[in-house]
Amino acid sequence: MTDAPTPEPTPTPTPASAHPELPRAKAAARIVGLYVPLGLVVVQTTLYLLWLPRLPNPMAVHWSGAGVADGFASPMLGLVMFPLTGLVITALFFTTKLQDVQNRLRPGGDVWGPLNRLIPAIVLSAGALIFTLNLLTTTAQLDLANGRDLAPNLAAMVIPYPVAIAAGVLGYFAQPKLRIAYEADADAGEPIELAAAERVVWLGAITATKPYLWAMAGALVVASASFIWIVTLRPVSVVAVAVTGVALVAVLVLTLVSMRFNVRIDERGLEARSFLGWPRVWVPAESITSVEVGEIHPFGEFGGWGWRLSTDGSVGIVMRTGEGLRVGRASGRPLVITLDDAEAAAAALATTMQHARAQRRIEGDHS
Amino acid sequence: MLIRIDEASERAIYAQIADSVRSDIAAGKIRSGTTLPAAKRLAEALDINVHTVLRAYQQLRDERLVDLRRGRGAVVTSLAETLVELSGEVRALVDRAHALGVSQETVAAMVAGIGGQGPPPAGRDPIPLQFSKEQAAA
Repeated sequence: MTDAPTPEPTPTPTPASAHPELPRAKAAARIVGLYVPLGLVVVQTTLYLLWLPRLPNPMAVHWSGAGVADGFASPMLGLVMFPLTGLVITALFFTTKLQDVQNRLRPGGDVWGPLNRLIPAIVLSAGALIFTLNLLTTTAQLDLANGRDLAPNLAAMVIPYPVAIAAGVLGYFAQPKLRIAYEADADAGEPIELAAAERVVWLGAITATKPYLWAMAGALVVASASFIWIVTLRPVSVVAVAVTGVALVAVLVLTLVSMRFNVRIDERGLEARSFLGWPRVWVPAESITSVEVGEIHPFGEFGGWGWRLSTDGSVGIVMRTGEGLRVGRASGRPLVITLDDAEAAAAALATTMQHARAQRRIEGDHS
Repeated sequence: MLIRIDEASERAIYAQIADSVRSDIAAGKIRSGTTLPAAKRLAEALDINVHTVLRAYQQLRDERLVDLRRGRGAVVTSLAETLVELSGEVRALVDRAHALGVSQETVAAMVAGIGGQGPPPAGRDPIPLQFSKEQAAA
């Protein structure tokens, strides 16, 4: 027999505004995703310039998959293309700056999550790929009379990839692991006092708003137009057709499924199911750790409307700015949904959570 | 939409469901034109027979609070707005009765005792209803 139930693990929120680790994480991200990739561009351009007098003209600039050179051009092409590619890749780092825009769209301070580590690592990885490719293919042609004399060199085509992966992994782990969750201004849901045999359910829906549908219609037009354009291109690129085709289907499916999510809160838990039957988000009563009701800012927290993932790791089905529910889960990501009459929904879900805890306590006492 | 049912209560389950919906309508949380959840969904959530929910919806239809149309589900009628207006007056009546030492049960019994079949009070139009003849007859 156990004398007391084990207390619930209460997540200790950290103040988002002045996290002591944040400046360090930001600096690390900037070094990994911006300074090192820029350094790689500078180094490879300098080396290329030094080697320029020793490079053949024409030199090999393109290789078949087997490492046989099949495209030739002036060394000037490499002088432009490699740094340009490196710079474009490095510019991807600035996608993380979108967060500053997001921060302005909601109250509260910075948020930080795995994505903030991943993007710089990907930039570094791609930068390292270009750097290694440039170095290997250029050094192989030093002092050659003609690029066409180049022996097949499979290694130069293969080696850059493990190097890029290693750089990416290194870049990811070189940054501190830090998660600063958005601290929403929300109230805990108040459980409803129920009689012994009383039950409470809440039924409602997350419905698409007009602005969301307009945005999706716009995305649909762009996706269809690119697909049609790609299909008409000759020669047909199977990869390009596949990529735009998948994008088109993804936009179509996302638009359709998020027209309406039916939400059900009962003593088993919370279910948000698309009116089409899929997808279904299911939070069992036992796994609920917190229920809060408050303002939700889809752009500030998730970067837009729809079925989304936030930087700090929350899953959101968010269709408009306004009241909604925040549900903490024992295992898995917090769930954020926009609902009308969220107060009543929170009350019902808090009742569910309380009931599940009481149930567990009874079972605990009997074991 | 929040629905509470107490199986230990003497009040029938269908009536309790109707009470919950009616109070949400009176509170302005469910507006006219809103479709109530499908009876099957509500029955699943409450873990009760679907006929019980349908009976609750029929009760609300008899009160002319919802329209039951095949294929469209239970749609809240424009009487919802009237109910919101009326709820303020009901609250005032209950408050006044309370101040005079008359219990809510007594007031409810008095309201029930007046009977719904009588003519509307003189000088007042009956509550406007948008109902087709067939539905009124049904």
